[in-house]
Amino acid sequence: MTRFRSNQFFAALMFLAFLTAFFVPHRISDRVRANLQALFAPVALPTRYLAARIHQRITPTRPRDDGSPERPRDAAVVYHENDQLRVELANVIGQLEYYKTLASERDKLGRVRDLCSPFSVMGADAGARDSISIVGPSASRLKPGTVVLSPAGIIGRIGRAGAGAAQVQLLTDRQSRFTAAIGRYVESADGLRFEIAIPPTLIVGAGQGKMHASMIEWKYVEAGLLRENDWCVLDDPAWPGVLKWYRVGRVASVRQSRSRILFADVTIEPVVDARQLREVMVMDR
Amino acid sequence: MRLIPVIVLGYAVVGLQAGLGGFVQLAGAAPNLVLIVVVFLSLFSSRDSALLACFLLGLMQDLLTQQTLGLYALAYGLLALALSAAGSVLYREHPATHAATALVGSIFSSLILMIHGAIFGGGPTVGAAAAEALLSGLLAPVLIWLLQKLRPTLGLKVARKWT
Repeated sequence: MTRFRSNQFFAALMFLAFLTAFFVPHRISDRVRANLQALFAPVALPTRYLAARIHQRITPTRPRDDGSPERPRDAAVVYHENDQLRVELANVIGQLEYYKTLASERDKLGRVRDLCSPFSVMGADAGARDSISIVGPSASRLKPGTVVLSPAGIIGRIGRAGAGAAQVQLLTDRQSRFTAAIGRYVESADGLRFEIAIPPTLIVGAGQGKMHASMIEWKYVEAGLLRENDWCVLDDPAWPGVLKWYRVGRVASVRQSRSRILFADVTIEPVVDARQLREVMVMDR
Repeated sequence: MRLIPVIVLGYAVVGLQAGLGGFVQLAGAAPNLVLIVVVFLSLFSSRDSALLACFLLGLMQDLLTQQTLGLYALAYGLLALALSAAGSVLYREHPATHAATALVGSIFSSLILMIHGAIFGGGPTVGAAAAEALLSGLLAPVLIWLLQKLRPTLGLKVARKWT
């Protein structure tokens, strides 16, 4: 190919890339790449497995008591509390079953785990966004917006799905938005209960594994209703009802906003780094 | 340049980038291995081959990211164009050149992502871009040294040793 033709060909490719990047909507370009991204699994999966093993050896994950971050509990106390909670949970599930039958909404409520299918994580975003690629035989049936979770909390939603693989937009991605409530477990005369004292607020992904809430009034912080290590739980009517108050993350820092002194600047971190998980659950039922 | 070995190299590096992401990181950002290969090809292959190969590498990276399709292809194409033009004034064999070009290249590609992000949202933060550039710059001399061993396989001219 002559230099002139080669230059013309490259210019045409660049123009096409510019058009696709700036003018073609996501839903059109996603159709192509959703069906091609699984091709990288033979390299990404073994690499990920090895990297996870090495990472675990170098920096082993230390257990953290998110239930009582200020005073980490003794194992005996945790066993006792777990036993109690199981009894209560069984009771609550029983009551729920009863009311579900009454409401004839059997398919809409239930244990979240029963509504999910496991998918392997292929890798993190190859660029600078907060997303992960997952692989599984039923990936092509997933729809954009399907919720992705781990036992520790909600991770994100399906961005695009194709043959054998799907891309998950994490909650920490800069284009992610949802409403959530912030609360904590408190001891009361009736036992341990989860208490939310402030109204649900908008949470925005901030990238680099973080989320921000900037609409919470500072008076709640002054009243002690919001502090570090509180739980952030989903409270968004646009999401499936079964996920109400499902954990999203924990409050990593709270400080007064510099530009709007009546509001707090709250940073929320997911409980687990989704980019390091080997498996996730997709709520596809 | 032989196209098939370069495509295989690109495939392996994009797979590695996805597999290592989340484990090798600084301040939430990972080094951009694909960008380092783009720098290597721009420095050591002929202009026309480098432009096409870097564009293809960007396109491969676009497949595994949440960014819009074509953004990395555009960024790497422009980067290859700039590096090929500057190739004659660069001391290509020196590790400092590799580190500096990877650093500048990473900032350049992040700038394109930021411009896109400013319009459509979802671009990287300045902190993430800086961390990625720093990591890529630090890793570039090592990775390019390894890649130089593959120059005969990739069909790139091997520099003569003067004795």
